[in-house]
Amino acid sequence: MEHVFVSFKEDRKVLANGKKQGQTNQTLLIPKGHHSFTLDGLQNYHPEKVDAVIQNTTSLSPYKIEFNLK
Amino acid sequence: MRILSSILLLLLVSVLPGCASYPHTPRLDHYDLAKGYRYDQLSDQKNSDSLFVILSFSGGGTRAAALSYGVLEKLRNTPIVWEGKHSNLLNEVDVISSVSGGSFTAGYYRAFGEAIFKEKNESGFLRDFLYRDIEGELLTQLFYPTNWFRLASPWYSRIDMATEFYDAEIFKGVKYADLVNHPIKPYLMINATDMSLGARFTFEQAQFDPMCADLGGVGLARAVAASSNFPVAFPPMTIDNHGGTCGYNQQQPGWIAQAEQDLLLNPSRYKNAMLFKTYQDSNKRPFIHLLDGGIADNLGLRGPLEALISSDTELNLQGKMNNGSIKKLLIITVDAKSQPDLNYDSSAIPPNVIDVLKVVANVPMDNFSFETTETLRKSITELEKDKNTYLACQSQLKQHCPAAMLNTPAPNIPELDFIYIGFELLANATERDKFFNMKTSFSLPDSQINDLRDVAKRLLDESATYQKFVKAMP
Repeated sequence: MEHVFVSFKEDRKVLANGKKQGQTNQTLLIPKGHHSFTLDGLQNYHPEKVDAVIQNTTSLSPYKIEFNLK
Repeated sequence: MRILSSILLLLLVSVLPGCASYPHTPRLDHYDLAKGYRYDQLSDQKNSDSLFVILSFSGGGTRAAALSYGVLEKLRNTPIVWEGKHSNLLNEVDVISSVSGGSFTAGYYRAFGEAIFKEKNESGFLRDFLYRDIEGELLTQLFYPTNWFRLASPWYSRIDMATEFYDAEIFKGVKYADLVNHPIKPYLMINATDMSLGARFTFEQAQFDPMCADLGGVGLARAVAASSNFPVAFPPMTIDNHGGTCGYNQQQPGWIAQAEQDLLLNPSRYKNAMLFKTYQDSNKRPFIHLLDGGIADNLGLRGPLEALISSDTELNLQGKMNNGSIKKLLIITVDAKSQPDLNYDSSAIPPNVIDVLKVVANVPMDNFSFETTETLRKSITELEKDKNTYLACQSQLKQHCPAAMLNTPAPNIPELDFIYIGFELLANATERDKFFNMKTSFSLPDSQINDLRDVAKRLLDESATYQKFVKAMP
């Protein structure tokens, strides 16, 4: 199991591969491998999506993804 | 007159087999995640998400059905207070994943709820299935002349005949659409085995989506019959594949394209994606053949395990943990496996072909079940280690460097408990052997069924994890 931290100014649902996987600004569990991350709701953020290979993470050092307001 | 009778008989002989066919699987018009039998479509006021209970019921004929029934009885008699609400532990069961004999108990409970506990003298699970000579009655069906004609058809077999019997006598015509219209918990995961892939095949809409098939039109009896479709005793069950006709291939779940790149990084994820894709092409696989779920996973535990370690599944426990909705996760596995016979080694004469076939059929299944429970235990340990490492680090930081803080929050990992119920836990060797030697059949003596129900309650009572759980209740 791997860990991802998705930061954003607002609390939003995080979509991993189009499926709700938790909230922004939380450390999320995710299986090892390729994933595509987006946010639920308004498309007022960039980048539009983040494709990442998630591996070798821990709860103390999750893979960090940053979305910003447009 | 005699000529007319002969013509009529000839017509019957030639026409009747042609008419008999397995029930065709309804086509799904449009792939729609908001419709069908899916966990996320359930809502149940009496069942909280914060206490998340999963049961898995193994195969093993009536032995397994009775053992799992005993566990349901015990959970019903376990009072709990959760978030200030008085209830019993059975009301908190969120998911039942089952195989073969265990699927009769799981399916009946989901279809009829508390009615499963009706006494033996009333129409209910005890009278209609558990204490009934199902095996004998199935055999009797073979002697009905109408069935001779039907069984002569290449599209109709003994498993379809058994399905009709289960549907009329046990499941009273309940279809998955009835479960969708009454969307309460537990979520039912009845598991069979896809014969060509040797892979788990779960009766849930997410499994039927790539086949563009509507699970709603499928009877619960058919799912249970597929799950308990013991090889040789019954031929494989045929279901229709309409893959490629409902828009699924144009908007398949996002994880599949991602997982296709994970051959070296996460081979099991890659394999799951490849298995799913085989259903999408109905030209290559217009029909799917199903066998007993025990061949792929005789504990019914693989589905819940995958949901715990992967977000790619319909159940997606990871997602539910991430959003903090689960505070406590309890998994109870009910394993009715019998014991391998060790008497072979008391003689220099090699075991006969029948004995060898028995070993070949059962040993890989038992080894895989062992490996499944071990993987689940390891996954739970890994999650707890993750949480504890974070907390230990946070505590050290607080103690030695109070101004500093970790720059990401702890993952939402709930309290995790696993209870294994199996005969090997019995301390008394004579009693253990008594249960290990009960035959795998759909007909057991009443005394054995009573013993199985009682021992299930005792094993749960004696479980340290169960005791800890009950003690923690206010």
